Parts: sequence; C-alpha cells; structure tokens
Amino acid sequence: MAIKHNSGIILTTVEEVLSWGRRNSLWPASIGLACCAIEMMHTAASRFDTDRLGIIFRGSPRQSDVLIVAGTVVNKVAPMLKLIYDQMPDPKWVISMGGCSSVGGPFPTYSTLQGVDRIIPVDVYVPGCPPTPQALLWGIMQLQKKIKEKKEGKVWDEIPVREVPTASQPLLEKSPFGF
Amino acid sequence: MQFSQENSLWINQEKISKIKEKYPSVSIEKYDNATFLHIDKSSLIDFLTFLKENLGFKMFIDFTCVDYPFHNPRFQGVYFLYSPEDRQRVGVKTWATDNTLPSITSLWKGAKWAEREAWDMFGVKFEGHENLVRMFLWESYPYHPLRKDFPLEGIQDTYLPSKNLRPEENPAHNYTPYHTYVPTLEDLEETQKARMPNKSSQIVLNWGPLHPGTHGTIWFLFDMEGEYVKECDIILGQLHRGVEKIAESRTYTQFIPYTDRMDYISALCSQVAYVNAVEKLLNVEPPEKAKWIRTMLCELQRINSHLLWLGTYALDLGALTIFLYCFREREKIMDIIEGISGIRLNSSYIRIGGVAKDLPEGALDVIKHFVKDFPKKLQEYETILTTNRVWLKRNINVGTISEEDVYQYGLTGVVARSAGVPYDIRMIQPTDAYDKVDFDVPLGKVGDCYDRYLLRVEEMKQSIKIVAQCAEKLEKMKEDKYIATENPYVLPTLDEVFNSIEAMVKDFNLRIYGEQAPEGEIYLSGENPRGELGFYIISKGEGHPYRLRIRSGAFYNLQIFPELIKGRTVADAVALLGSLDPVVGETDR
Repeated sequence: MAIKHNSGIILTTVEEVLSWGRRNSLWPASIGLACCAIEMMHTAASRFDTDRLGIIFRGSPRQSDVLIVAGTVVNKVAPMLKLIYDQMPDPKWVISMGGCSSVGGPFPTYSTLQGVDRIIPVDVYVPGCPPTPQALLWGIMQLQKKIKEKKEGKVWDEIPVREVPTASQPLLEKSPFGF
Repeated sequence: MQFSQENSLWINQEKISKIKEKYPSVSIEKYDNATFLHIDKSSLIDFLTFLKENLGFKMFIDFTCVDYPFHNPRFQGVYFLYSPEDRQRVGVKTWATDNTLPSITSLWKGAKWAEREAWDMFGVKFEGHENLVRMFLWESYPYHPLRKDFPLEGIQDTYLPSKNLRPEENPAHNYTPYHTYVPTLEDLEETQKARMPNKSSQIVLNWGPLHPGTHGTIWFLFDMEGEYVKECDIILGQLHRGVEKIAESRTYTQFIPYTDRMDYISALCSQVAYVNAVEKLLNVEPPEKAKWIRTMLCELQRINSHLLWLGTYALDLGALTIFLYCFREREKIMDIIEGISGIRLNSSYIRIGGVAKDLPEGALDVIKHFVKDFPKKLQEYETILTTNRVWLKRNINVGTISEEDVYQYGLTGVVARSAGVPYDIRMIQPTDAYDKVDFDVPLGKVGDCYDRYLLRVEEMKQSIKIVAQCAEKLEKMKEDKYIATENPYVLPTLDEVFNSIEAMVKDFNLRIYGEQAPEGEIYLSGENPRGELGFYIISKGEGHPYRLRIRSGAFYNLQIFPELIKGRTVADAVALLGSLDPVVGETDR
C-alpha cells in the first residue's frame, strides 16, 4: 500500500507501518489444552518452524498478542482462559484451533464448552481434528490477511496519490498514474 | 518369559475354594475374561484385607462404581486387584447401601483419587476418606453426571450467547444461546480452598493449570515453607470431557475415535487396547496380518510417545536441542502413520476385527529405512544426555519409588518397572502378536527419575527391535486379508458394500443399531506407553455398552506425585512431573 518514491523514499501511513509490524511479529501465548497442542508444538518445532514467520511462542500472556486456543475448552478451564485473554495487551487476536474449541467438536457433553466464542471473540477458525501444522499455518496467514485488511480511520483510496519527480530520477514518461 | 494367550489372568479355583471356606456368603460371577466375587458391604474391608494379606492380591488396580437405577441399593462398587506373584486378577463387587461405602484408603493409598472420582461422578460417599472432594468438577457443581438419569448434554440453564454472532447473521440450525453453567473464578477459588483445609504456611503456590511446564492442564497446589514443598495436592478435571458418559450412547465402533482423543500422544495403543477388549467381548478373531500390523504400529507409536516425552522432558530441564531433534524424528514417524492411516495424530485406524485399510505400497520400505536410521539418532541423544553433569544432578535420586509404592498406588508402566516390578501387560497377557515377537522388558533398580529416563530410552530400542520383526513378517503376508469381514460383528469394507447387497445390509445394520454384544462383562488392558490402560465393559445385550470404565495408567501414576514432592524444592517438581509423564486427556477422560 505504500508508495515507493523514485529517490528511494517510501511514503506510507503510520497505520500501515503498525499493521505491517503487527502482522509479521505475531507472538502467541504458549498455552496447550489438548490434542491440538501437540500439533501446535509440531508447527513450532523443527520441520515447520514458525520462527521464520516471526511467530515466537511466549510464556507469558502479557508479552503475547495472539491466543491460539489449541484443544478442548471445558467449562472448568473456561474462566481461566478468559483471565488469560484479559491479561493480554491490546491489540490481540484469537485463533480457534480445531473442532473442539470452535464448536465443541465430538464432545457434546455436560462438561465441554460448545465453542470458545461463548467466552471470547474469535478471529480465525481453523478446522480439523486436530488440524495439521499446515492448516494452522494457513490459519495464521488468514489472520495476517485480516490484520492487513482491517480498515481503521481513513480508507487509503480516499487519499490522493502523487509521484514527485526529482533531479536524479526524473519522472518516467509513461506514468502509471497518467500525468 | 513367554506366556500363552490362553493363560487366563483371573483368579483360579484353588484360591476361590480358600475364599469359600472363610467366607461362605461370597458368590462367584464368572465370565471368559473376568471373575467377580460378591461380598456384603459390612464385611468388605475384612474381606479385602484377607485377599491382600493371605492370598497375595496386594496390588491395587482400579475402583469404580456402576449405576443400576432400578435396583435397590442403586450403586455397585467394583474393585480390581492383582497378585504379582501368581499373576492373577480378581474383581470384587459390593452394593453401596445408603449410597455409602467404606473407604479402602487405609489398605491402598491409591484408592484415594478413585474414591473421589466415584463421589464426583455418582455421588457415592466414602466413610473414612480423609478429604472427599470432587475429582474433576468444581465444588459447587450440583449434579453427579455419570448417573443414568443425567443427560449427556447436561442441564443447559445459563444464557451464554456466542460473542462472534453479528445481529444480521443467521445462526446454525442447532444453535442455542443457552449453555451449561460455566463456573466463575470464585467457584474455582472455593474448589482450591477445599483441597487444602489445613494449610500451614502463608503462601499456597499455584502451578498451572495453563502453564507450559505442566504438560497439559494440571493444577498443582504447593504449600510452601521457604523453597521447600510441605504439602501438595493436585486438581484435575481441566480436560474432563465426559468420555465415559459418551461411551454409553455410542456404538462400539463409534467409540474408537474417542479412545484416540483420550491419550492423544499414543492414539494407536489406546485403540488397540480398546478394540482388543471389544473383540474378546464379541468373540471376534482378527486375521493374522491385522495382528502384526497392530503390533508394529503400536510399537511405532510407543517410540513416538517416548520421543515426545524425551523432547519435552529435556526442554523442561533446559536442553532445547533435544526437543528439536526429537521432533524431527517424530515427524518421520507421523509421516509413516499418516501414509498408512491417512491421519497424523488421532488416526482411528484400528477396527473391530482388523484394521481399516491395507498397508499401502511401499509402507514397509519406509519403515525398514526408519528402523535402520533411528538407532543412530538415539545414540546421539544419549551422547548428549546420559552422562551430562547437569542432567545427572537434576535426575539422580529425585522421586525415588519403592516396590511397596507400586502396589499401594497401583503404579504401572515405566514408573512401576523403574522400581523393579516386572509389570508389563505385553508380557503377562500378550495380545495381538506380542507372544510371537522377541523383546526384553528393562527393569530399574533405584526407581528415581534417572532410572525412568534410562528405561524409556531402552524401551525405544526394544520397540525398534519389535518393529523390525513385524516388518519382516508382514513382507510375506502381502496378499492376506486385513479384516475378518466374514464375522457378523465386523463392518464390511467399502468394496464389499458397493458390490454385494448382503454386505450393504450388514453395514447398514451395524452402523445404525451397533454391534449387539452378548450380555457379559470384561476387563482387558493393554500396555500403553503411560502404563496399563484397562477397559472394563459391561454389556446388557444392546448396541452400546451399559457402562464403560477406563482404567487410566497416567491417572494412577500421577497420584504418587504429592507423596514424592514432599520436602523437595519446586525445581524438582518439574523433573518429577516430566518423568511420571502424564497426559491430561487420559487422566481426566
């Protein structure tokens, strides 16, 4: 979304820069609840290696901005999960990983929470029981897309675009903007 | 040390006549794979003491209750005991008049949690129990969910709508804003206080439930004096999903995926243990090839499970490299399992009467390559850890378990073998092809964390040996049948369903009405990487079990944790918990 200036200067909005930074350094809180946590560990470990995408698992919710709900949320653990979500600083996002945390999965029982969205708002649902590491990576990329497209304040299209010629790099004859 | 498959593991006639002499009122209930003795509640403790001290049944295996709503008294307690010398099991049944039973914690300390669970699930009270609190649910929870009159989906009395639902959105057809009651933090605080009624120090340290070091969602309470733990209790139930309740409304085949999700690290072992129990109940004999495939996959899964244990254990004690190495090898095993069954983790591959699919082309080649490659990798890990100074200091003489502890708490698996007790279900009651393969069961001497580390590494080597033997054998059985579809209880393969009307009708009947198992009871267990995983199934001749009790190895192994951590530092708790290796899905069910 940024405009590359001919002399190497990049023009953009503060919002864009913040969103770029946020979506490329998603730090999830390392909380595992059930089976999905094993696949989450596999996503972070040697083969899939989320570190290369800037995704580093943190031990404290106060240092993280994504909550990956990996596994069955039962009624007893729900208030503690909510507490952890409340402890995370804004802006924060939630990925619901797997069938159990999305809608209760194969456990329509007295003790299982039927979907983690009953206690915290969810941004991305990843299907699977459990989702493969590839699926979780897909979910994280969906979240990145979501952060990128989130329109806050003025919409970019409304800001007029101009390219300015300089002495060293004169404006090309065929400007894409037509002036 | 090989025992034939026909060798019954249940109490023999000689001992029964001895019991009859002393207790003439005892009645015997005999099944093919279980023998129960009925005794009056008034003489229960006396009778169990007699079994323990005179007849050698000194190891506690399991305790559970069964609900018969139309019987008076309503609840029946079932005890399982084991005699290590004679290799015999026995079940003892007693009716709980006035919904109370005498507590047997004076005889076996391991009954403490099992009795708490029975109170939680059935509302049976225990006289003489030191602190009878709820095992899985919170203190103010008003129901006892495993009673037959409690609905599976619970009482949906709380308004709890989805936070994601926008006003213009159309909710799903079965969406309801009402939900079962979710406890508040105050409810949980009350639960925590009930666990430690006589705390002495200023600070009760909470470890978990959402902590990376607790291997899941276990909640530890440490009553601290300085840096040392004086008193400890564990709150479970942060992953209690009601699996035993679900089993009562599913057919036998439908329950197979739930066994995966109990012990998700060793899914295939759990499936095999469950399917073996059901097959014995239905009298189904799987073909030879299926038995070998099961044994091979079980051992691959055991390596997989022990690798996860080694990786996370080393990570907890500060060796990150091992974690990454172990996960590299785990990926290879998971690829093999995915290639065979189609799913990486919770594979649901075993079926009643065989396995779901034939081995794909080239699977054995991959496995053979892995068998050749893996011992070198294991050697590398041992080079890093076994004589590492830090590793030795963190492990040696931490959490020493004695032989008496094993019998008292009903410890099984590696934890029991580290104390020198040769308790391995693969040896004492071999199922599948375990009686045809050659392997050793390593035993420890001291019973500390270091012993358990050495044992698990050695078990991986033994497992590789078994996998190699199975792969060699399966090479010669390529054309054989992998599922015994001629049996009336076994689901036909997809090919048969599409090509014959009889198979289609059979498939329909089995899927809709379930396997109509003959009336009877069975207790059969398998050797999970975490210990003895037993299934106690009561069938009333319906398509689903009347009661399915899961005897979890990790549940009983974890029970010794508060005893071992007393007088030690919190840092040792990490090492000790890692070496007991619980999986919360199995402890909580």
